[in-house]
Amino acid sequence: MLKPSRKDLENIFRYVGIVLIALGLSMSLPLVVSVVAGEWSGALRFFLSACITAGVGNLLYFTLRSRRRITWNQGLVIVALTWFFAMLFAALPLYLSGHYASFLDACFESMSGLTTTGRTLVHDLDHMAYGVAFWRHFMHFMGGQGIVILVLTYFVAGTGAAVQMYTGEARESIMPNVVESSRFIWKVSVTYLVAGTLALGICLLAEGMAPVRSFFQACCLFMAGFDTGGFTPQALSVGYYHSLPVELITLVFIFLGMTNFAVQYEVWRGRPGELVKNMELRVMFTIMLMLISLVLASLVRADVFASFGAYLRRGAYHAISAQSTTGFSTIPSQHIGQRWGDLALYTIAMAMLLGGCVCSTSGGIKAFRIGIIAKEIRLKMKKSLSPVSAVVVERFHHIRELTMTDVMVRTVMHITILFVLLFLLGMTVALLYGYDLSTAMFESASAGGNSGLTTGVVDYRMPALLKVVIIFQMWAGRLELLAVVVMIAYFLSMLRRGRK
Amino acid sequence: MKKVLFCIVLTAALVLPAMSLPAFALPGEVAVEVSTIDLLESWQELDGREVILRGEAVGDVMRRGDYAWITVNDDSYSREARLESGELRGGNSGIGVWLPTAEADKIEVLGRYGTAGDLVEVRGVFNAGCNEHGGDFDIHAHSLAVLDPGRDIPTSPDSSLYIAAVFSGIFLVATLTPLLRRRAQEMRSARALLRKEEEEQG
Repeated sequence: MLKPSRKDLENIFRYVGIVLIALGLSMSLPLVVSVVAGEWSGALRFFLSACITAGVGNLLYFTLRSRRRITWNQGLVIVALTWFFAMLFAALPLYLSGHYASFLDACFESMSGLTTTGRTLVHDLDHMAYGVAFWRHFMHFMGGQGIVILVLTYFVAGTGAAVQMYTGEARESIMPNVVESSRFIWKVSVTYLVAGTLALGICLLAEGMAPVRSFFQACCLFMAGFDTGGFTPQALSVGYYHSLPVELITLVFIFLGMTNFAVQYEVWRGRPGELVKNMELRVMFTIMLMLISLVLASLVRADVFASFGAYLRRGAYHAISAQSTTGFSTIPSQHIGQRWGDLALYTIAMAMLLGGCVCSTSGGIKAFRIGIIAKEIRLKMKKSLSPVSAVVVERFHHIRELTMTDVMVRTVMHITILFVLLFLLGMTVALLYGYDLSTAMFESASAGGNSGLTTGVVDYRMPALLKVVIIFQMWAGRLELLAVVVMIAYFLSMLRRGRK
Repeated sequence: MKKVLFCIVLTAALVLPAMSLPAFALPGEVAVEVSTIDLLESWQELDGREVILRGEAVGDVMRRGDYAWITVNDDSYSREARLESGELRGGNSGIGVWLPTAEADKIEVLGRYGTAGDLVEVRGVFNAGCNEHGGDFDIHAHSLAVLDPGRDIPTSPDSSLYIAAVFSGIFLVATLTPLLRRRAQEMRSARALLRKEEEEQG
């Protein structure tokens, strides 16, 4: 193993600098929102944060002169570090807003926003300024599409670093060129943003909300729903609107967000057949049906509601919200643990761990990997029943016809095992702090799977170490662990004595 | 004496069966003063009962025909605005209240950024899983009273924020200097190259 040199580190931090410049520039959007809303304190705070963020980015970019070609592991280290530094600087305007008790809480919020987790330590959300509310949701939008992807699209197009960083951010390539792929993701997302904001804005208007607030909240809800985030402008989450049409429209966003962008690209190219043939989508919908059935069974057993409509509306919404790792809620989340029964609680925890599709905005292990593991089990059974000389293979359709290989299975197993370890880490720490097993499991699944649902444990009084562990879980979970693991190994190798 | 005994027996005969009745909102039933924390934690005892909730009207009044939805927050910020006290005391607790639009129209100021909403008292039936609204956690109120009118809260920036913004602006410009210098150098060399070419041609 090679020990990283100073030049290597310069190379890495130069790219981190580029991302910070982009992050600083992105703060100009909430600054504009603050100015339009007449929130002058907020505008100044965003100006201050943007200047500091872009200034530090400039310092890193212009003072570190290394122009070496990025290696595979450096690409992953850049991605992991980028997300860490993005968390620190994105927390600046949040902390300055006065809604957070400490800078750690603001970092928790920014990591939760960027990783599209949606867990919050905010105080007094219902009195939040428009600018800060926009920034919280815009973090979902940036993080969901990928901060590094954004930078790839506009700053490092055509360099060799692109591929490493693209894969490091847990994305599969949609087109042969990763820069084209990232541009496609952004193009689709912005198109959806406009259409989604209009649709939901009109719906909120019809539901009795004032025009400006309708479209502002629609925009925020779109960013949180499509990016399977979970933040909402009001403290009561989606339950604030008391509206079935709003719930249905947010479900449409959630479906779009949790569906593989490569599949969406095929549909955009005029191949809707992919929606039916795709193995990952089939697995995702099968799991979804099973989860909804289990939640409904638990609700009926606990005799929670009086009508079938209420069971379906609340049960299905929360099951899908959990599986997509969005975390929107239409009931007080404490009631999932208290009223809905253990089966619903564990099913929702399981849903958050399983997640949506790969190359989507959702977290968790992902349906593609579950499908591969299921096919591997079937393959083993087939082999055991076939003659020794027989060649048994598993084929499936994912954009094109593929044959399952050992390398594919190994990669899937590595990531799945890492996810389980991450889940166990969070659960163990929560147990050490005295939480009961079901709460510890639920909260750990929610953090590692980048979902926002909580049984009420997550609040500012949580021990600082637990907050740090959850931040780590959100970070590692979003990057599907690989980039974070490589980053840790990379920096540990610096401590070794020996060959450079 | 007989009359006293008769009164005691009669009272007992009326009160005891009433005590064993299920907790449904009955006309004339004494309303219970509650907080949203009580509703979240003791929903089994309070479900279907007449309750009184005091808190700040926040967000929006969403009018839906003859009825409307409002949100009433009774966390610590509903009693003392965060922007005024400057303290963080936690909590984001509130509940949706469904009430006649005429009652909702009594609200003049809603709690948002820069305003402390009207402090209101709502009376109505609490539902842990509302049949009418697809299993909602809500209160169906029949009356609303404004206890304390809302007000604007000053949000103008203080001088330290202006100073910090100016310094951060200077910091940004200072870090951009290498870029500007490099650009100027590139421009100079491009111009020199152009001049040289012109001289060669001329």
